[in-house]
Amino acid sequence: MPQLKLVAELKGHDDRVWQVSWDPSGTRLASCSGDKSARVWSAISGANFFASTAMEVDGSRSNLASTWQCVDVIDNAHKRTVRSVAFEPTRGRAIATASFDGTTAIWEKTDESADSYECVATLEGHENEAKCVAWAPSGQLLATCGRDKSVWIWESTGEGDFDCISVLMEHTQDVKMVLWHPKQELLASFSYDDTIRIWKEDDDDWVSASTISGHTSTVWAGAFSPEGEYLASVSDDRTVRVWMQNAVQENGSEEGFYYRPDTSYKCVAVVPDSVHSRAIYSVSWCASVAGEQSANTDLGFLATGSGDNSVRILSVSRKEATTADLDVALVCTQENAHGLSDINCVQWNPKYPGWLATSGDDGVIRIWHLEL
Amino acid sequence: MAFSGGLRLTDLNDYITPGQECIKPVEVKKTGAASGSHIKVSDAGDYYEVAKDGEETKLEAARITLNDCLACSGCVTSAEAVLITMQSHHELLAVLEENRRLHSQGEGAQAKHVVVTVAPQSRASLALKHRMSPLSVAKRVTAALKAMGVDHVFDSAFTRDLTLVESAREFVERFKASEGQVGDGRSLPVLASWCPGWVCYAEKTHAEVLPWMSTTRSSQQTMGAVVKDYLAKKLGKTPDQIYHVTVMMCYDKKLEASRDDFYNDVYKTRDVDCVVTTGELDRMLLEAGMSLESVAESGLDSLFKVDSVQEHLYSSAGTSAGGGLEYVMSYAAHVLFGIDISPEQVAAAGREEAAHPLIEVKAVRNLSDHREITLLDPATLKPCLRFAAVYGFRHLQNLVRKLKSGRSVYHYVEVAACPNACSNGGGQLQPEDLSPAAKKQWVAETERIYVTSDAYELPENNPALRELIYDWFGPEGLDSQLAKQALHTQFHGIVAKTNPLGVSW
Repeated sequence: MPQLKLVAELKGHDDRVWQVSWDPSGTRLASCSGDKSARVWSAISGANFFASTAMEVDGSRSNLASTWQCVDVIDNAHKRTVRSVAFEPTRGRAIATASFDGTTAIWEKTDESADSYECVATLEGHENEAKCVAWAPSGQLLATCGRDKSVWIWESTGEGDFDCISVLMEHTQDVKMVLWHPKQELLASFSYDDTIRIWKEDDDDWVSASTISGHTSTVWAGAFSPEGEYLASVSDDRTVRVWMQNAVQENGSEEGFYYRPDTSYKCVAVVPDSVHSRAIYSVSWCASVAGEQSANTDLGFLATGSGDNSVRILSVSRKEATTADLDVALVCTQENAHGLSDINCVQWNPKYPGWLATSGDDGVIRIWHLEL
Repeated sequence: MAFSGGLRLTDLNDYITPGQECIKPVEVKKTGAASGSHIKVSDAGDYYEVAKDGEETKLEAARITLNDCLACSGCVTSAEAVLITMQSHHELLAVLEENRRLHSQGEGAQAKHVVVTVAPQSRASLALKHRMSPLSVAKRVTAALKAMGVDHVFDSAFTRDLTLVESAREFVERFKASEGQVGDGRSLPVLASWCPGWVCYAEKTHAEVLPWMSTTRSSQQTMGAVVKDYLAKKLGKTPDQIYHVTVMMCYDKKLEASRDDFYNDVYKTRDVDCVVTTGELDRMLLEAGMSLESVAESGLDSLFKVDSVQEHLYSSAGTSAGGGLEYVMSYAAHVLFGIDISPEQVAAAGREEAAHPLIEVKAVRNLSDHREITLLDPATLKPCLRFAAVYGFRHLQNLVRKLKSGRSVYHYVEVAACPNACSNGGGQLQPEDLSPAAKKQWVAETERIYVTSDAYELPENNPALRELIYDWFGPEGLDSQLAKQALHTQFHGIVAKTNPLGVSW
């Protein structure tokens, strides 16, 4: 019987935890909260923590709290809620935080032994609350978005600072999240105007390549499949939708389907609104868990975090070769994952498949292991 | 979802509390009356405050007018659109109509003297659309407007010469005062301030950079001073008897014209009464049955940057931003370092058409929108003047960030809010094909038409300009008090007041 096993609890924030971000090594977690701070947590036993699945974890209170520790608190820059946090994905040295005060800050530890993180750059420009910050996989580009309906793209100047290279104003409402494609230089943004937009570079500026409509309410978050051929999105309309580029009967290429940013997108799977009983705020896509299913048909697992207090795991697989549609099936539900509180963020560990971090309105971060 | 859904709802982060969008600080003047008072609504719909002793004072309706508007995207954006359309070509037509009526009733003395000033960037846009040369456009627009009852049609390129000279003088003075050092507490860098979009944005969001703004007026407002002060005196009229309209490339120029700094309290009149965009002028002429193709050319008026035989329209070297960077560099090079280099040479180097051994051009992100132009000392080949041209919101961001963190090295920056500067103004004519590629091509063509000129004439070689300066300001010319007052302006940063309703999270 598949289930999510609670393995660790990270307490310390004084207010709801909005987002969590794993570092590229998978052994550290950054979190940000309504208490205006961001925290960095580290597994005390390092990578060995993830090897402990073989051993019995008795789940008692003391064990849950003793395997992770808070190693840094970043609380001296933002004047309001820190809404988003992201570890730099190539070396995990820098952390970006985006706040309701409209600024995005970049933090670094000047050297390994340094006591605390230092703010090396402050990116201003949003007229009001910034909602999300995301690093591109190359670590050279940063995207931010906010209630002022704009998406900003920044490029690293190499000296720890960033230059604004584009201000994109095509959404008609608050932009909730931005997300980079794992393999190509494409940006996706998700908005209160019920659409998702895909942006690409054109000449020296960024332009809108596509608008994906289909959700009937605010699109809160999204996740690309690990190879980038699909995009999953979750919404206030309680559905999860998976998208793929349209008109794909490609000349039977080996790589299968791949993104071409100029075409429109079609919906290849919908998880109906009967599955989640309230808005879904977060989604994360993990590749197949080691040893499960054959690599060809299984596209991995989606984790969703919802306002109905539950975390759900859904499996994604291709149907037969004749159709582009996908099969998304509910694998397990962890009710009241954060007690009677909304789940704000779910994130699969990028290095250790099957390990999930979640954060909620109860101010706690939990780490779970998916046991099939 | 916690236990009580009702309680939670007020914590939703997307809830926008009333009034939080408009950042215009609303001043509430307390009258000091201690006890409460009643508000009465009269039959006419006016509001009166009735004090305890029965005395009624009429309450002023709170209004937002165009000169309050900062063009932020907050507010009731639709209201800004409404305010801006209040200043449209219909206003000009109304004044002309009123003049006709007064003349027909024998009250011609009360009619307003109507002056229209046309910007060269607008002419370039009209030239592209109607497929004729800018000189031809100038002559036909003059003919059409005069046929409609306008008394004078002037050229803002004429007063632009005046602003170029004055901004160059300002730069040299500030450079000397700070000994070429840039940064906090210094008078450098000098940031060009003729672009009203940039000024509105800086006043609203980045008040810290205001001390560096050039105080020299834009060519539109300088023409305003010429028309309402110099021309008025020459015609023996008071400023309010003249109605001054300018034809410009964007809507932000309407905001500029409405600024309090350009309002004459004594005569209750603005330096520029109405701004009409290129598109609005085109529409107006069409509606009057006078398309440019059908109108015959007429002679040009006096305040026009044209040669004496009216065969060539002169231009100022540089981009459609107005040539400030090129002229100031040329002037400063000569006065400060004794280097002789003409504005055309700076412009040609900037466009990478003709390299110059003493000029280094670097495209920071984009040659047309974000470039650095550096003048080298001939003896040492080290930079002695670092200038930059920054056009467009996204490049502007980087300039502002560097300025605020003290990392900017420029002595002078030509700033424009629109990419490709004024050729791409919001009020310019559009091509029929509105696809992004076609629009880009159209703007490039407009810029090309603007830039190619029969001849360039340096402001100092313009005899009509010299005559105007000494006639207007007296023997002291540009050094006189009157000149300093007529040709300069100020900036006011906005302090946003936080709405007490909104701040808990």
